[in-house]
Amino acid sequence: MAFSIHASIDPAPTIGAHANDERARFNRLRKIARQFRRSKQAVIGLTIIVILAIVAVAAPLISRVDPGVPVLGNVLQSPSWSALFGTDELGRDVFGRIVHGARISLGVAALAVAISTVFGVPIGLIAGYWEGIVGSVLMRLMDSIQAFPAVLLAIAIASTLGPGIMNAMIAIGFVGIPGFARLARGEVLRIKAVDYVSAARASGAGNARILRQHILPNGLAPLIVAAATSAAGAILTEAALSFVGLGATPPQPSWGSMLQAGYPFITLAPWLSIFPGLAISLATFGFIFLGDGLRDIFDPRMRGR
Amino acid sequence: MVRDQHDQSPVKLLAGTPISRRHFLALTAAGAAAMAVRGAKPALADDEIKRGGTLRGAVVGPITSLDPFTSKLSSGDAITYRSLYNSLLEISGTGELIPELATKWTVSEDGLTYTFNLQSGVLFHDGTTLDAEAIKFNLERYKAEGSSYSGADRLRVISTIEAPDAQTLVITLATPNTPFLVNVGVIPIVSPAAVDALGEDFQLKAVGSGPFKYESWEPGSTAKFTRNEQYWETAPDGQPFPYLDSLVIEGAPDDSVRLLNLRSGQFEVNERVNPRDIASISSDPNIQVIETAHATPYIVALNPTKAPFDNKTLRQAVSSALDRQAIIDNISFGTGYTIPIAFPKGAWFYIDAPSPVYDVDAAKKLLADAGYPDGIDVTFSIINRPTDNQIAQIVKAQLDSIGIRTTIDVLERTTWVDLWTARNGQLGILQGGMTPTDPDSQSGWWSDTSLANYAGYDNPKIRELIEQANETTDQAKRLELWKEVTALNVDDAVYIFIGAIPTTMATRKIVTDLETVSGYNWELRATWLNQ
Repeated sequence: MAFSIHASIDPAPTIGAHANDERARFNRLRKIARQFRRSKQAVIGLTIIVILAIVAVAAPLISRVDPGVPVLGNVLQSPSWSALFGTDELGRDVFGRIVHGARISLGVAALAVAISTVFGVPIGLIAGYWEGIVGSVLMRLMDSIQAFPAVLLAIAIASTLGPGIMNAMIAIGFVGIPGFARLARGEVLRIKAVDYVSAARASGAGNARILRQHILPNGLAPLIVAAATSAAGAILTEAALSFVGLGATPPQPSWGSMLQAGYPFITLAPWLSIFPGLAISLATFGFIFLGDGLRDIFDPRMRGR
Repeated sequence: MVRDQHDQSPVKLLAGTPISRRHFLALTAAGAAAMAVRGAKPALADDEIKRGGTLRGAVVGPITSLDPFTSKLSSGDAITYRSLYNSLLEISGTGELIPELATKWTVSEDGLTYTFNLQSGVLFHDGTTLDAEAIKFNLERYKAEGSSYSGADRLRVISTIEAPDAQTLVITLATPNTPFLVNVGVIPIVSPAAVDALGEDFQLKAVGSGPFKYESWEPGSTAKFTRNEQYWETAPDGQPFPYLDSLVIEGAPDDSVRLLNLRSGQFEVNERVNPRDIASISSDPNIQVIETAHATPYIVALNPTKAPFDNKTLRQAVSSALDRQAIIDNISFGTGYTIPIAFPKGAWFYIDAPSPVYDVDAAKKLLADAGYPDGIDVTFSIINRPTDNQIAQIVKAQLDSIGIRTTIDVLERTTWVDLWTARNGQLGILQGGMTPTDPDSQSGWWSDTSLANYAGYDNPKIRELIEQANETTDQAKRLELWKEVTALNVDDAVYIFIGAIPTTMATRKIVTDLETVSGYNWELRATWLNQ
């Protein structure tokens, strides 16, 4: 990814407070929105995410059946009008479970990314700003986490904490911390050498203020891109964890656990694997498209291609 | 001795066995089923049998050791031992005792002295002779203090083992023990000389006397065995068994993988077919399905040592709330049956007592009587296995509906075992294995020493009844005692036996005359490939 987005976001809000700060911010948002609309990828990605989010929020309205209760007289029915995506080995409506599963899968993605950023970004900021011993220690710590393959580490953490969606979320979030920390650190290293930071320091601004007011806002763009992309990764990791039995506990309908339960029936009832698989793909596509689109918008060199 | 299993009618079998009365009962009880199995196979003239070829078998549990002494009880182990070793007896799929190394046996009136007459001219693969001394060495090794052999406990009843001559073995017991004949009969006999020579390596390079001998195996890899040219049993064509040139055993725990590889011709035998796949492979012209006498029982376990399930009325509420038929139908696709205790259909000791009735109102009343009119929250810990997962979700729905609100906790096997061994589980699911050998093989559920008693079920009355049953030689009386055990077990509702799924195996059609013995072990000496 290219992260020289500095020029694209107005670096103006620096020395002193603007009288028309509000207006400048509004104009900048309008500019981004205009660019956003021009990026087909971003629009498609955002549309998919918004639709899935609506499905997740409105799940009980879309599918009124309880996704956890077995209907033993109705097992392994192929897709039909009464059960759009068929029924599973316990007679439950697969469509209803996927709809309810959106809550878990998207919720996991959102919270895992939140955990990664909340811990990763400050670590990166600190490590980048105080490059000496503090930075080295923090980054070596991050390196040691990244030395493990992400999914493997997530499995190790989740199996230590025990199965359950909450633990899966923590595991996925933890594994994502180093990525954000490195990214944030890179941005700090780049930005802190820029004139307006020196100017702020010269005018007596403290470290915290410089980090908060000058460095973070200008380094935000690549972090947003990374957040969208890692949300896609989080969905996949949750699916992987659930597939090995470390994610959602039954009868919770997470997409990954549906894949896991459906996989033995692949020849007998392929719809048990196909539809959760499609849902995972769709959500992943959505986030990746959104991430790529945002990168194009933020990166002037990519713009107009 | 010529062994042709087609001719082995019960009457012939009895000819050499002086304790015929009991066997006769066993045979008549099992007779009908036995005939059905045998009759299902096309009768072929001897000259049609083709020698040669390799049989590749896929087993659920990979081989853990070639030495029964250090086996971790994987299904691959038991299947391999049947071809690598001989034993005193073998037990047919329907529970009949079939002479093997022991041509004849007698039990004294007091039930304490067992005398075995042994087959002569049996050689181990290393050329040493299998005689009474060799068997004595084996039994002493297996039952020794600190032995890692899984069946060691069952052999501790032995007080002396004597070998008055090479072909006679006399075993004296401390107390009468009817299951002893089966327990001692199926023990694989290994070469004492090889145990001494190889030491620790014996588990990697086993030496037995069976129809196949070791060629190569390393833990985690495919095992290869070749035809024992000097095998002591003679086939109808005048040459020794077996017909096959070699045998390959490979572990493949995943049901789908084994099935796909069987269909593609990668394997000739698949140890176990998941019930869901039986319908689809029945239409495959290259595959045949074989019913074995083995079955897997599924059990809901309640921990009676701690609150809340130390409350018997609460346990009975759970018992009444479970629709056993619905559960077993769902997981077995209609192939399973409900059971009050883990005894398989077809065994002489199968107990057809009705399972407790599924009655939601009674369950709710029991729940209130137990002191939980507003319901109760419990943790339902299960091992991460597909069938357990499926059962748990049905059980959860059934218990939730009466007010026993469960949270399913899916655990790794070792974590689960630790939890229950420490008696910290509340509600759980167990799987077992049941064969038509002897009811005593299920005693572990109620034992105060066995690790298999995960719930810590302690009912001295049941243990007393089992002890009594083991000392009784009369089969009808034993059955009565086991019925009492069953009734007590149902009433206590610590182990709630839900139902059992018969184990079905599948082979390529070319595999001819493959018998299953002692439940699901493969008897391959007379097996040949029709290709």
